[in-house]
Amino acid sequence: MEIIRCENLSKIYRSGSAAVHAVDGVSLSFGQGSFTAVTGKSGSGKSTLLHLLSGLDRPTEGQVIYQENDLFRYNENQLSVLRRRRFGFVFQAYNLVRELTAQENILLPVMLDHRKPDEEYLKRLTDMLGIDDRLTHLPGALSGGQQQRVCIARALANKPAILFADEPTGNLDGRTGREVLTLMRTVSNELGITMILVTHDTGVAEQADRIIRLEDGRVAEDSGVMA
Amino acid sequence: MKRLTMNHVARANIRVNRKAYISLFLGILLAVYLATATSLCAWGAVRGHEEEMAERVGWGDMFLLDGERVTDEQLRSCGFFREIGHVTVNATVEDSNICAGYYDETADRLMNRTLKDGRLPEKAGEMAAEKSALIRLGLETSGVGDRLTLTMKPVHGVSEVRTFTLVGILNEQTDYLDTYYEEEGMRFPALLVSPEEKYDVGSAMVHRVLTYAPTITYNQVTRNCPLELISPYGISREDGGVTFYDSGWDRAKRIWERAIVWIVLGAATLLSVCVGITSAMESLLSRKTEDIGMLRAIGATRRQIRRIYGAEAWLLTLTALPAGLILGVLTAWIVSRIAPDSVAFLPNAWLLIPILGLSALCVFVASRMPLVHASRQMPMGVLRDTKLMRRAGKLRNHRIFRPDSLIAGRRIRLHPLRLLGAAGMITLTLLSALMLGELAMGLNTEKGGNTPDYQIQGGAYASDDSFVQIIEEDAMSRSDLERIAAVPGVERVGSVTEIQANLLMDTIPEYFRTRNEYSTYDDGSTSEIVIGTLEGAWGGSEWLFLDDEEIADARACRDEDYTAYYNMKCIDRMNGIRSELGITESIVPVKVLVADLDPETLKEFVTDGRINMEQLDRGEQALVFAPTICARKESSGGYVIDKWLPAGEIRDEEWDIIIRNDAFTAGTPLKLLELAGKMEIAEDESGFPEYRVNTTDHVRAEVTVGAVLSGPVRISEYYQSGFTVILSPKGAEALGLKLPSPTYTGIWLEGNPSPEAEKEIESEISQITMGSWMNLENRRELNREYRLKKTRQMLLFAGLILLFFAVSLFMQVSGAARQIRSETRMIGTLRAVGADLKTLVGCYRLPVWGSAVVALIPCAVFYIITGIPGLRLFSKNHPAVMLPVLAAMAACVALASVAGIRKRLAGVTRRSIVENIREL
Repeated sequence: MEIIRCENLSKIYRSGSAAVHAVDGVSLSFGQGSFTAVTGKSGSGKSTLLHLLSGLDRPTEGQVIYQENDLFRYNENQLSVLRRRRFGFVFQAYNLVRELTAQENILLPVMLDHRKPDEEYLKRLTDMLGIDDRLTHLPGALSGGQQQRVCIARALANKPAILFADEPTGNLDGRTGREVLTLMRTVSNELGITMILVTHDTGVAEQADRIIRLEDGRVAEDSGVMA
Repeated sequence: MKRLTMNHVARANIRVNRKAYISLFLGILLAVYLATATSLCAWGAVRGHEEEMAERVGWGDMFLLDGERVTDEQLRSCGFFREIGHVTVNATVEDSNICAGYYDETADRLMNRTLKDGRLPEKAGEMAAEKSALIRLGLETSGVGDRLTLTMKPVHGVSEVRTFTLVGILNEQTDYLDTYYEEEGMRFPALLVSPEEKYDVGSAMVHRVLTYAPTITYNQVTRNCPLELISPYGISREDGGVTFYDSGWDRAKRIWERAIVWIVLGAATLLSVCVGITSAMESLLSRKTEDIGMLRAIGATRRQIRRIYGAEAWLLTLTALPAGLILGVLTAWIVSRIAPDSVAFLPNAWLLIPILGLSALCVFVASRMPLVHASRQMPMGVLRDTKLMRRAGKLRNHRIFRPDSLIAGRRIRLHPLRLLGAAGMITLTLLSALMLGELAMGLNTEKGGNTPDYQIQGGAYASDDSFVQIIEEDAMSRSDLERIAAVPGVERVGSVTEIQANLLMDTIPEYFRTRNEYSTYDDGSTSEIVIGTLEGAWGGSEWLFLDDEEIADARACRDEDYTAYYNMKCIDRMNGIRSELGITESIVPVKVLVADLDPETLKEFVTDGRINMEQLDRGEQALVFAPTICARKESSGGYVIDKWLPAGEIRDEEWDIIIRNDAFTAGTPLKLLELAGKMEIAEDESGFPEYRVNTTDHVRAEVTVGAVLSGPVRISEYYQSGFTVILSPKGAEALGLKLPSPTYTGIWLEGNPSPEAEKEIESEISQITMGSWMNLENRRELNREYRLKKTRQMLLFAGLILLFFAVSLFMQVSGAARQIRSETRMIGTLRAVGADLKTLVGCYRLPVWGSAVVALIPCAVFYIITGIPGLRLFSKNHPAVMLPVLAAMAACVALASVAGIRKRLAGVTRRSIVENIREL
């Protein structure tokens, strides 16, 4: 069953007279609970596509349909609600709020939604991510890998419908990277979360149900499996 | 290849990030502008007064009248003087003390003569004169071009009649340079002639005008100068006259007093601007942490980092300099137009030194801390702020929280300096507003009193016979006052009649005892000073306290000792009256004041009893003003006397002499004796004419004290000083007292009559007053001028407060905007996890309100402390007005800041989250 799709999605960056087609007329559909890896060379438009799908950026052209609604017809407040309830995003550069502790960062989307945190779930999440002993620290006191895991925990804290991850293992060593990925898969499978992941690591991509390869902003290859 | 210098890097940085530098540029521009404006205003306030006074007394520091005993060489060699000018007086106009003379080149400059009309004399037979000299010579109708014939008497010469052509009218100066010790021909010339004006017989007298060598003062010259200077007179440009005492300290104090408002204003605004520059610099550098880390990683030293980013600030300073200077000069010019009495517009190239110095100091001090902080970053320590980590050790981990409040609260805890910086700025603004507000209100309430439109003066006076009140036949009566009050257009008439009367007392209270002290002046001379409460008794009340033995002693030496003579005269006069009227008590001369009383304004000065107007009007009661007299000997040797201190503000340890009322309380009976008399001219023992007072009538009356007053009691515009019995006009009438003409009558007109109506009213009033010998003075013109001056000053104050407020607001809003700009990444992150605009605004709201509250507390405390009696910094305290105004101002700054933040954040959220996150 389809959860999100994009139609003829384009993003053009203009700089003077030059125009760069970061994403160029991409149409894709993602099934609920699927695990898709988007790969491609640097500058192929992977991250831009992910940003557009997750509503973090507005396309120059095209639509993103989430549950039969165009994402970009929502107003800013409706989009905020959607982001805190239905989407989770793992940034390549972590982007943690540096004044908040690891735990507070993780709880941020739940608190923004004025909900009571599911203590048991969060405990299990942090245990699995191996950051339960670092929860009282500020991001500045954490290593890159630990910050990445806090970022993953934050993205999963509100049990989202879709998890967008931009190079989630990019800053981790090979073993930790694999562990983190396995963990993300486990949680996603358990909760039925759709996972769209950008990576240039073929090893990581191979774990996905479906691999989409981008080249110059266009889909060059799509393993096409729609779970 | 061209060498890459730090300036090149700095310039390139500015070019690329022009927008980000705007805040810093504006901060620096503001610093230059304020440094210029306040320097010019402070200078204008001090120098403007000096120039005004120099118009009166010139630029000399001292003059020697006819100092022929010392030569110029001696004066030069003693090292006390810098310049010596010569004023030659070659003749006096016969039968007057008006002198004619001329100056040499130095004296011409130092005397600073200006012409009201015409030119200076150039050849023999020409003359320029002061207008007042012409008036005194009966030549007031003479103008430039007229010929004047005067009998001139050269010094030691023979009088001759000369004719001069009047070529110019000089500014008034000679009267200001007057001293008591001048003999005829010793004055400065009020008539200037050409050096060619010669006399065949007689000699000229030469006065010298001198300026002191650096650090020398009048006192040092008179004490330490080895030469025997016959008559050295100091010239004071503080007072615009001759001085016999001055010290560098006094001068500095006066200059300080004149410039203090501007110094406080300048310091406060510059400090707030410094805070602004610091935060702009910090925010700018925080955006460059990665660059700095990179530069450090490739081997840049801390000093180089400081130089690269410091150079940016200096380059901006250079760019801001012309605009800042022009704006500052313009502001000073506007201030001088608004308040020409307080500030003169006197631009001076030398002022560039303090202006540039102040601006540079501001930029250096303000940019130093962020630069040092930035340069201390370790190459890879960009993400790890060790200070933050240390503070974070004490944080409590929250499980349930409101994200905006938590983030805002955490910020305050982790970066308290940011909050304090902002709070400091608001505090300074509020404090300045407080001072200005108090000054403005003080101005309003102190001098803005309800002064009358017309004034009639010259009424009753006490005779030199302390016991008797002179009653003139052509006096103005109460019915005259009623007629004036009935003139159409007159709103009301208020009068005060001061009469000399006496209290009959069995025992004389200690409160009336006079303290005779000696004041020592700086030149070593002493004079007797009488400190006591009985001002009605001339020369004090010593005679009242003499016992029989002392009276016998005084009688024995009355011919040699003036005090003994005076005492005997008083005792004999008193005994004469006692036997004539069959009185057994002592007769104590006191002042009795008959005036329309306002119980509401007098209420606050009542120390005992209460004011009952009905009993006062029936003549059953009187009020007594019984001041506590405090005197303290100053280090200079003179006495400071205060008679107006409220009882609560007198601290015994501050005064050497305190005379307190120990005799009069509510209910004390008073026996009044008024002796009405007439002045007669008789001959004394040697046949010389002597004024004598003939007692024509006497009135005895008994009243009780209704209320005792002390402190700064003001009745009909006049402050009371010595012990006074106060009666209402009806009360005085009921007691049968004989009233002379009112001492002072004020007439207030209804509304604001046209000049024609005013003339008509004035002529009607003068017809009534004409019968007496009173002077009617129109004060409307004076009042108009005063009101205009006051309005201008208030306008200036309001403008300054507004300026302060705007600066503070601008700094707050631009500070918040800078913060938002440097935190777009965090904002993007928060948006990505679902924060809406309201939450984002919440993250910034708390520190803004926090800093407003933090700023308000010290201001309120400061204000309340300064309001404590005895510690009053302000002449008036208006807590009921000022405290709410301060709170409102702080709230306004906070509200405006929050509004600015919301607008800025709305702008940020209009861009996509990806753009926010990529901002860095």
